Amino acid sequence: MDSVTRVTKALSVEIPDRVPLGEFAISDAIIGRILNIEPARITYGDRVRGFAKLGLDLVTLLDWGARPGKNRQMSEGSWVNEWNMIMKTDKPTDTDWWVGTRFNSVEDWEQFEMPPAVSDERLETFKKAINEGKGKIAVAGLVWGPQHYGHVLLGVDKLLTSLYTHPKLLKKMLSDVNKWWIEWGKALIDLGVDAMWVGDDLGETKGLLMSPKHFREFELPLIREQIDTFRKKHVPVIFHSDGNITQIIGDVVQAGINALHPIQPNAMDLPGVKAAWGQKICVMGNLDSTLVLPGSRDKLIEETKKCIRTAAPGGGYIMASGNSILANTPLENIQTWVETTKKYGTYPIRI
Amino acid sequence: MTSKEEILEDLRSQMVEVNVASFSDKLDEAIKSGLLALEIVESLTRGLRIVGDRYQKGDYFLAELITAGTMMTTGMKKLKPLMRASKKSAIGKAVVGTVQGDLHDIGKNIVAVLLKSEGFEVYDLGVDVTADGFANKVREVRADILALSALITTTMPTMRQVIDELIKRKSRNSVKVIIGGAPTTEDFAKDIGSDGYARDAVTGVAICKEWMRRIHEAVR
Repeated sequence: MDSVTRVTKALSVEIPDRVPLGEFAISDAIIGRILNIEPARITYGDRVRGFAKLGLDLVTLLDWGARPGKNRQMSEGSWVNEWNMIMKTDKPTDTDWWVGTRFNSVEDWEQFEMPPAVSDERLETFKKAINEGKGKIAVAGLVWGPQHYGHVLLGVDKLLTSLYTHPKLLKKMLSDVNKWWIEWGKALIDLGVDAMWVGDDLGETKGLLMSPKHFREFELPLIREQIDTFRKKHVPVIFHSDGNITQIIGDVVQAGINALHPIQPNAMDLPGVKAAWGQKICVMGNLDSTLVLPGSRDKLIEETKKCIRTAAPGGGYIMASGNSILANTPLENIQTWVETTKKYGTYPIRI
Repeated sequence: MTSKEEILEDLRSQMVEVNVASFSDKLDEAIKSGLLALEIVESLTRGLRIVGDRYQKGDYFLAELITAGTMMTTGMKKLKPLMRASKKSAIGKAVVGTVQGDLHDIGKNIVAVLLKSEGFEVYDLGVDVTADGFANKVREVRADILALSALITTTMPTMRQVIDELIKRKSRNSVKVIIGGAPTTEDFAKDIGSDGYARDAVTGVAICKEWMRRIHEAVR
């Protein structure tokens, strides 16, 4: 069975030949190591090749929606992109990070002009990456949900206080951002992605960042619009949110998602999520990426088997970390994880 | 005629119910009524504590906790100049900051506001703070507590470096270390030799208060 079929079956809560492996993100430091490229030079196409070379079935085209040529340099290793995000190169890993924003408050949004949602330079870049994956690996596009992209544009604190101080303006901003990402998502589907992510961090370890009431008023209608649009174009949707989102899983399932990721291990309960929602949606993730993935071989094998035992029987599980694969994860650990999944995740599950 | 207690309760309820729009007017009203700045601060602190309790019970969320924290900061800016004459001694000294490589300050800011409102003298070192920076400040101010925050998983190992630096400088036994932030866990805290771990800001501040209570008891 090829990777696309394997992933598609899992996303449809059917039983593939074995549990597919996928990731939301792998540090460019690791991609650089596996491909022997400097991390700073890595392209989307390289990431697709890197994920495939590591033996994964699903790669994510994670991006921030900005055209590289439009950056304004601030100082060496630091710049502002066309969304007013302040970016910085992390020296030890040679990878780029979001570090802040030029928006002082949501009031600045009124004067801001968004870049074009679909541009030739971005289309060309992503087309190359998607073609790189053909026949090798399932390629998933990504759009950011309005809350997470709002966090990135304003900062978490300003977004959350704006719920109380500038609710109308915040709604306008989130709606504008949502339209932008939907346009981009449709373009990715037209380019031929196999699945779409809606990435929207709604939770902290303890619970939601905003109340379910605020979520349903400010956020849910917009997420639903994203999911509806992509499902109508016959592409499965994986919903990503860090943190504990137990209180609103029902809302996002009802909105039509195919899979939920990453079931953060210190915040969510994999057996509970599988039992409650495993008949309706695929579950993806939960392997600890902070201590287990970079840690000892024995513990890594044990925890990988535990995820498979808990969530794979009956289908509808994609193996992934509980966040992303971090720069400090040794290559041999990733190989152990992939091999363990292939060995014990072959159906029928017998562990 | 409205009593002083009624004015304070009215002001406090603006914070507890997160009524941002009316908070500033009610605060001005309380100041003009002749109440002592310290009385107003104590009332707001009680309000923030109620918001914290509701957050811990799950009735409130980070949005309410942060917004109430912002209201407290706004209030303190207005009240601080009026408070010099009635300054109380701090219950302890706390150094707070986000570790090197991490520029997230939301959790750290909430902790700083809550610690201040509970009577701590807070030295907020900001974000992207080196192990040296933390160790220097701990020694300089003779801190009772060092609170470390990380929001990015990759910066967690830096927390270990801070503790190692304290050990190297023989300052480890004179300060209690507490860590927090989304990717951190109790196991990780134990692993790096932290005295405490807090899953959220309210819990963290409660732990710090308990430590200070024990320290003061031991001194008596």
